[in-house]
Amino acid sequence: MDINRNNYETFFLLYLDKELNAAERMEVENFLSAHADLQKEFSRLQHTIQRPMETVFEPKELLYRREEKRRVIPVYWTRIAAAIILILAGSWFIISVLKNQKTFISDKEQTIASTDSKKSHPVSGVAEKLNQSDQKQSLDKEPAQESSSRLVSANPVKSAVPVYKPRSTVAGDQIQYSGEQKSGDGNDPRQLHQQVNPDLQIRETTGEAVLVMQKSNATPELQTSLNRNAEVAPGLLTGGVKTPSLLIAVGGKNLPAENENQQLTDIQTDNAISVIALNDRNKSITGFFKKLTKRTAGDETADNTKKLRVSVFQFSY
Amino acid sequence: MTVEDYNDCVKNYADGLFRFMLKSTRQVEDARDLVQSSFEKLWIHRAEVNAVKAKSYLFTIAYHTMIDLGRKNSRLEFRETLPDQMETRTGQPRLKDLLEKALGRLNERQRSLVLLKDYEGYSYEEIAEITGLNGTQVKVTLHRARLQLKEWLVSVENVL
Repeated sequence: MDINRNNYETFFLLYLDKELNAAERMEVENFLSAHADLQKEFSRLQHTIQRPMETVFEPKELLYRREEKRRVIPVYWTRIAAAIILILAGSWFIISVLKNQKTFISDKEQTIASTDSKKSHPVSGVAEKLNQSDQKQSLDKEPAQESSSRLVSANPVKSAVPVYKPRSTVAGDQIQYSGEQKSGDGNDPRQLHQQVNPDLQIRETTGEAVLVMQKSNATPELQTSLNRNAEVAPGLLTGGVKTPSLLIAVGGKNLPAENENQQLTDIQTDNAISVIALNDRNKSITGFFKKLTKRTAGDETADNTKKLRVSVFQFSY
Repeated sequence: MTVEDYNDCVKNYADGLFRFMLKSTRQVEDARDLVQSSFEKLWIHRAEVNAVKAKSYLFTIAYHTMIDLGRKNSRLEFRETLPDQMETRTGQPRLKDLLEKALGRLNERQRSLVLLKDYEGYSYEEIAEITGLNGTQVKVTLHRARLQLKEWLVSVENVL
């Protein structure tokens, strides 16, 4: 390094900028001490050096960062076991529910199918059942000397079967009971009918019970024209309710007409609902059905007597 | 560079960078924005930046961002007048305040080189890396800036 009066300024600046090594710095210092007139020049250049000022950037939290660690969920065997148990329990529950639904649907379909098969007569199945059981009971216990028709209750009557007489023999709007009467055993058909309809009156005349069918001004209209003999007993049919919402009357095909000399040979066996009433207030269906049986006129045996079975029923829903 | 290295950079260099930007722009909000954007870029590219070079990286980013900002915004023009707080109670300007004013008379490059040299103590080579100049250009520019400052200080002394 060759420092002299022509280039000292550059060496002074390099010295101030600390760009010289120790030897070069020593050489500049020696030159400066040897040339005292340049001290002021050196000092002026030294004053151009900026003094660091205290400056603080706040807040540094704006600049700090954190490690973006991914959350790791440890897998525990207890959690896995609990999950499996929950899944199995849920599956079992769903399967059981589906199974119950399937059973319910199949039962419903069977019910609908059976209803459709008996669509021609909505309660014929019930009537047949009742008639079959009643017929069986009556065949076992019915006395041979019974004559005329019988009135059969839908309620199970084991010991006594009332006999219904044809309309021609009933005065006014009365239905007469006849046949063996047993009182006090709880199987009295009159009691049964009274239980079904308190409006019924049993007339103890000449050993026959008479069912008095009340007629009112609000007698429901018959829904059938098949049998003009079909009658409606409002109290009986509606269980005391005066306004049945639906009334169906289906008569036997060849019931003996009133005031007509009808031959017994015209009477045929038939199972049909005579009257049915749907009562929305009591949520019940009330009605009765009957069965007529006719044997040949020449046959005098007890089995060939004509029969009219009337069963009263009331379903609540 | 790890997160810890980055946070060390914040701890060690944030104040210096803010000072450099504040002296260069003389706008506190601009200086803060430049510091934050510089550290944001460092964080984004932390995987590519060596921790040893982090300081020069920060100053390089800040310097070039400031140059770009200065080209778009005329606020980088230094004021000729000194702020009121630079005046002493007796009304006599101190040397520090004179230097502040003298620094404002330098051009942008000269000012930045002086600040990098005096405040941060960078060598010519390091300043060359930061500013994108070569060592000779840095040396020549700095020497010219010093001489200008000296001349202005001498003229002020003569006035005072």
